[in-house]
Amino acid sequence: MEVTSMSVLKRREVAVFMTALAGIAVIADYFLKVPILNTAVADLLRWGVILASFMLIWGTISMIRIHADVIRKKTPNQWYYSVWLVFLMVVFVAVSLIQGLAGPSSRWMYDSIYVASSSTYYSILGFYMISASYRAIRARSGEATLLLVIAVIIMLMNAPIGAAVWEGIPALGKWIVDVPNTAASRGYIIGLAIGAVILGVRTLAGRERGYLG
Amino acid sequence: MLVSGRIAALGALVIVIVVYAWLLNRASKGKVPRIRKMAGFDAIEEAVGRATEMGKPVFFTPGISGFDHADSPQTIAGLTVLRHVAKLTARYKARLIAAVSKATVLPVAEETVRQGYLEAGRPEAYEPGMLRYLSDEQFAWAGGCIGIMHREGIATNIMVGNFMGESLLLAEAGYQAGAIQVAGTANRSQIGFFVTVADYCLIGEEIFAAGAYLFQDPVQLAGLGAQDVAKWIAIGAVALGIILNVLGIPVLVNLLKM
Repeated sequence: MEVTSMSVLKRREVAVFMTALAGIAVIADYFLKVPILNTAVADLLRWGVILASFMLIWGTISMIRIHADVIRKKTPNQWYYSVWLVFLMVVFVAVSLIQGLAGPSSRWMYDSIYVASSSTYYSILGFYMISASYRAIRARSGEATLLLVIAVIIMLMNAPIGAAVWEGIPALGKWIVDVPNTAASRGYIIGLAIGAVILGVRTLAGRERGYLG
Repeated sequence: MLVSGRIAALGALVIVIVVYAWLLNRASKGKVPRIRKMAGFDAIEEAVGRATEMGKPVFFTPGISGFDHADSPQTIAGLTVLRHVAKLTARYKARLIAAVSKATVLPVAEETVRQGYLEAGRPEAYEPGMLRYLSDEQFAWAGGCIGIMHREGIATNIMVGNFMGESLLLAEAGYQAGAIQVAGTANRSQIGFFVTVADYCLIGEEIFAAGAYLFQDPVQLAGLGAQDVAKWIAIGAVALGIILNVLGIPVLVNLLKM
């Protein structure tokens, strides 16, 4: 059941029209070499980047509102994290405004806090891969057994011990990667591309409104 | 005037549009394509029901992309699923927490959830705090999601959209929180992680069927029909290309290079 008021309907129609107009212009720009069109679309894309930057303000307001609420209610096990987040955000913004993003203090904060934390998160993946593989790669069914056998071959292919165990393992592993794996991947990509194109056509035709909320 | 090397792609786009228009016309006459069962979508209602029974929240995220990238169709698909999830959480009176990683997605996600609650007949239950913008940075967003999963003790974790290096981090965090997990992405390099860890998985183009499957909208079902026809055309072109190339006639390859 579509529940809309008249004003919302009007607003949506305007949004659908603007989406279709911008979408058709960008597609035409991809296929056609028309200087006026190409320049106009380049400008349009720049506007998009600028508007997206403004949305960060909306996001920040929303974030502060939520964390202020958590702090005000002193939500158990959460409020001190919110205090820490708001404090760091204020410090980072203040330092960046004073020194600029390339300034030594803001650069140090970014590299020493964010980059270090990101690298730590990424490295945790190594351990998660082991625990996830342990749960998934068990010979419980025909498919799982096939997965197990292929995984063992590929692991042996990548490890120096593989060729020592049996000299045919590197060639077998390479064949699995190059032939069945590549064939399946290409089928996947073709299906995916067609799905994305159809969704794009539906969006331009105003029939897909997931992006409007 | 036409850009060289892109003429074949334009031809393919025109074919897709014509097929879609034809199937849309058929759909308007009541001839709607049938759609197979998809366990991933069916499991969402069960997963939300579980959260209600446990009195714990449902967590949703539409992935790392926004609307300004080639992966934006995945974000749109994720938001379509979010609307369905919002309707279900409103109906079953479960608590919803949705986290977005791009500021541009936030207002759209807010409207999506608001619309879901409106459609479920409980607009008063909608709260702006349900939607959380965490960060545009990949691991800051992922870390925020993981923190929410653990602190809030989620019962259900639904992730549909574009996911990258953080996919396994999120799925493992959901597993450790004891959540039932429904995950879907079209990102080829990450789908293996979701298949391995999630309880239900939507693989690749399945996520684009969200609108058609969840809302049984004839217009969107026509789109799925067009997708199938286009796939058969692609399969035919691949088979024909192989035969012609084996016979030493590279006409199709040359045509595609136009």
